[in-house]
Amino acid sequence: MTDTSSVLQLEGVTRKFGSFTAVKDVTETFRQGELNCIIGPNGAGKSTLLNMICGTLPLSAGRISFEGQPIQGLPGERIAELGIARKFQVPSVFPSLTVRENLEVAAGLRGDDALLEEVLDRILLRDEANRPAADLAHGKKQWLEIGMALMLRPKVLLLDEPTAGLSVDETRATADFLKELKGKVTVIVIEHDMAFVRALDAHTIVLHLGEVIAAGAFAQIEANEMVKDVYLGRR
Amino acid sequence: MIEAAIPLVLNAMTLISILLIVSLGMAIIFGLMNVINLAHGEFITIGAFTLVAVQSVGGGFWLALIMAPLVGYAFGFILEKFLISKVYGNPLHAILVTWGLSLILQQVIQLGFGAAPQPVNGPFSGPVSIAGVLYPSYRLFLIAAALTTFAATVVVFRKTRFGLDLRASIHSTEMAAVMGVNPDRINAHAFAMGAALAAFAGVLIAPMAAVTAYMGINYLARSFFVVLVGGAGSIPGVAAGSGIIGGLETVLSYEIPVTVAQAAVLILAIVILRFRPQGILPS
Amino acid sequence: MTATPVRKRRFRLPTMIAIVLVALLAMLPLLANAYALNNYRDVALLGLFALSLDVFWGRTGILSFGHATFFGLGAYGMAVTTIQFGLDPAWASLAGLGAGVLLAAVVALFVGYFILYGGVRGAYFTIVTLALTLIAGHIAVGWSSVTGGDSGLIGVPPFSAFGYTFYDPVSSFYLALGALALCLFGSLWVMHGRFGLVLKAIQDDETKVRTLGYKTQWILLKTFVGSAAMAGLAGALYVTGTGFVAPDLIALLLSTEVIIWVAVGGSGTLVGAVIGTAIVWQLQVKISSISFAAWPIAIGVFFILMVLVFPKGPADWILRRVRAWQRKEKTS
Repeated sequence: MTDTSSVLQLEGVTRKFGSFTAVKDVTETFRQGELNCIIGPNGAGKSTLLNMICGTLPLSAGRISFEGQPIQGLPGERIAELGIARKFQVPSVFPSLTVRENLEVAAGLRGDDALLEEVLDRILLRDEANRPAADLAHGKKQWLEIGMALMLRPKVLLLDEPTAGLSVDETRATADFLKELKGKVTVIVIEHDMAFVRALDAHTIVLHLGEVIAAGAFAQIEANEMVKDVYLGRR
Repeated sequence: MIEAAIPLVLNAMTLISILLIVSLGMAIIFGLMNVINLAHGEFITIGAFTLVAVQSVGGGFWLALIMAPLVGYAFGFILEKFLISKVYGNPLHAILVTWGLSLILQQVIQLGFGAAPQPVNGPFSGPVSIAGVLYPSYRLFLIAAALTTFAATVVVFRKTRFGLDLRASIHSTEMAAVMGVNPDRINAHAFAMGAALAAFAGVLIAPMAAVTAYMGINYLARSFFVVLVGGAGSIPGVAAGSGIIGGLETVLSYEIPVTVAQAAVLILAIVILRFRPQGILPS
Repeated sequence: MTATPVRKRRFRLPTMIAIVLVALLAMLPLLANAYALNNYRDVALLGLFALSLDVFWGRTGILSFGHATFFGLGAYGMAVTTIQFGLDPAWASLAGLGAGVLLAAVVALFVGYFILYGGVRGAYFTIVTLALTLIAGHIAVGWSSVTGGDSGLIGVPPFSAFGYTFYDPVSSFYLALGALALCLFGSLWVMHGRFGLVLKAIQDDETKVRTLGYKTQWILLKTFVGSAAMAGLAGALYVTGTGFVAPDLIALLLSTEVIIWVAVGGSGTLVGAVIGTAIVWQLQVKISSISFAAWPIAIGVFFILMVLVFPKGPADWILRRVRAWQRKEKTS
């Protein structure tokens, strides 16, 4: 039975590298407009999972469906066209263009000017709209890149450690503006920073050695003994 | 049929052999060191004019054959120290600098020797009989000389310390430095070696071609394409590329004018690169 | 802080300079004699040629070392069409123009498709375009029944269209200036808009532009073909002025010279290409008259200096020296 509000469905998704299983039999449903956070110790398979969703890495087994259609095996560009946008760990903006120009390029040749103004405000960069992107602080480059992803009007936004290298305030601000996307975009964030994950207060999935060991509201996960053990290395 | 085939095959082998030596130098400089050297044609010219100079003071062909690579080596070494070392990692700068150098060299050589083709003498003339067909003996010598040099270069690269050091330092200068290799010295010697090979080719070509200040430019484009089509950074690739480009040009030039044949081959090379950008035998 | 509307193309300095330049040039016929005017006409068309190179090189950062191919194709296209086919003079020029521009565009399309879609960029692209000029030069000299071989073709008629013939110095100058102005403002308009922005972004990070959904190879190809067509236009009009075509219009030396013209003016500014042409052209004439060898040697030295001393063009180098000197004056 298909859940009508589900936008991305993973069924038995597995990835093996030779004899090493990086991701094992992951089955999850992501709902429309929902905020999701994937956490887990290093090497848990989080980035690998993300890579499979956006088409960079092929699956060893399983299915991924987007809006009911299977997308595993499709080339990355096609998946991007369908509406799944990915922001990488290392910010890649266009350094010689200004903030505004970066967003203009992301907007496409028949640009959406109204959306651009909205996004500019949302990512808190209106005051620096005319600065070359190369001059931005690291944190703001991350925001710009998220902004560029948003210009594509994605249905699903994949973020790989968006707060890496950010200050405490910037981390908080990032959580805030991601929360504002609730209801509009399905967001899946991989993160390590617990302060951020707590502030995000999203549907949290815990990955350990490639398997989902717990999933639910953040409060539940925080209280979960097994999760605590995993993080403290007791399991 | 055989009688017609033999000159065709030998003509192709002649061109392939020339391209082989010229492109070998290009393969070292461009394929391995990643330097675009638009003055490579002028190294050939320098080799040819070494022959002219040697013969004008009464020296023989064999003397020039030994001297030209030495002249080329010295020239390449100095060039690397003063110009090439400044443009590593910046292909556009390499293009501009070496193109400028080539323009200057062409004019200087022309000012020194004049615009008319220079007369040179090969070591022996006259035909030799191959299975009943007469073929110029000099060309056979050229083929033999080229193949020998190719084999020798491969040995130097695969088996000697120098070749090992060069290949190591091209893959990683840090690693090479840790192993005690001085990257600056290696680069200078490698570049000089490429120049020496081209100069050597220049002496071999001279008795067969018109020796002018501009003779090198024709080999420039072809040797680039030999390296690109054969596979940059691979020595077997040079052989493959020379074989294809040299062979094709020879065969086509039997039917259409030589200049058009060259044009056709270069166009074909562009098409090949579209579908196999890494070349035919990449390293 | 007021928000600037996104689509407005800001009135930048290059556009202002372009307007002033064209206005000044338009007044030349009042000041110059017939001989000088013919000279200026030629320089204007060569400036258009330089502009065509800058449209591609200046925006994509990829150097085309064979742009004379397209200039020459335009020139030969016009010459061959108007001389070898005995067409009705009423529309021979237009046919020649079409032939020249089309020839340049088609060759650029073919070569560009194979190179750009093969992922070739940067230096490799430059080498292939160099080979292209050699190929074209070979054909121009070798196919002498059509192209006139080494000596070329004489007798290209002045440009005529819809009953009017541009044969006197003033009208032919205005024709050239008109073509230049049209292409200059057109290029400025396109390049200062979103298309130009995307090209700059491709220069920064082509892969990222692809992930944003752009077909970057197609964008680069369009730019390349447009630039080639512009060069072809310049070449076609050029021979209607001089009356003849010869292989040096499709030669490697010309490809090299045009790079200098653009570099001197500052690549990327578009209007700088035209100014650079004018400056260097004067220099070229003076130096060539000293000796035949002097000019190529001068180019060679310039290129080497360009890399070792002033990579951003002599104008930029001078500016920075002046600023550094100004700073020293202030602190002393």
